[in-house]
Amino acid sequence: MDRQEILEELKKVLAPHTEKKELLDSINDQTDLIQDLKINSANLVDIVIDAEAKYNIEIDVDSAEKMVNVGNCIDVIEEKLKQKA
Amino acid sequence: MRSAGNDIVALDKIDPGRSQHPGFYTKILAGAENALYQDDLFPLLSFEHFLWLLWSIKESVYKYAKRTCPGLVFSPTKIVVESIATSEDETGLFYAAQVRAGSGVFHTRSFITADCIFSMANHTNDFSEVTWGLHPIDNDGHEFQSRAVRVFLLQRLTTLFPDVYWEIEKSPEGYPILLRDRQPCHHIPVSFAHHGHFVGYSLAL
Repeated sequence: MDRQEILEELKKVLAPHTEKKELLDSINDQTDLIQDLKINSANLVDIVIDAEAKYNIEIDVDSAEKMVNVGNCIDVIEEKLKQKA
Repeated sequence: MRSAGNDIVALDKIDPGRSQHPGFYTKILAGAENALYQDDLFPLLSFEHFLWLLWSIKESVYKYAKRTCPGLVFSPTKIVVESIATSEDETGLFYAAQVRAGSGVFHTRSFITADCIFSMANHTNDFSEVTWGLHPIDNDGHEFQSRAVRVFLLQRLTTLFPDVYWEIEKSPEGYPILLRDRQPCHHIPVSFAHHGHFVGYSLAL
């Protein structure tokens, strides 16, 4: 799964937790989950759990804390997918 | 350096089933914190409310600490509630906690209503200089929440200091800064929180 494919699936993970759904079509690596997508911090654990289920991976605490913007999320998911392969 | 930190969890926004799943709560609770949940200490507190109480405590401490350490990353299991107990003052029952984040020790006060959890942090367990407010709102859209919490705080400040013109700006790091008669007022740090149909603030006077 390349970064673009990860991004497309990530949009589905983020969608239930943002009211700025119109922004999902134009998100990029710098898009901040809280500042730009207005995702409440209380939903960040939901996003980690949903990403684990979506990609069938486990995201440890040290990796989860890096998931503050879209690029970081893709980095973590890409790394975990490689570890699983 | 004085700071401020607060947090709100709207209870209608949490998923009780998911909150009780180990895969979920182990991403919030540090190992030793599981032992803090004791029926004799919290006879009326469900596990999911305990979990989100600790979340709001950690979030309030994170906001408090981030002002003096802008590079700080929010990692719930690394902000550890070392002790928590119930207490009471003129406002009613509250939860008092001691929290470690990195090399710092912080104190929090939290209360739980039928609809939400509210927490605020401080560097000492003396909260006499901490002022706070919690307010229900009709619209849970982000833009509305953001406006509502600012209006709510400005009303309070105008009541406390009727001769002062107050404004609110956002720092490059993302926390609010008060302007007193158009000048930055760093000696009154303020923190905002909103979740669902609730907004709230805490500030150190």
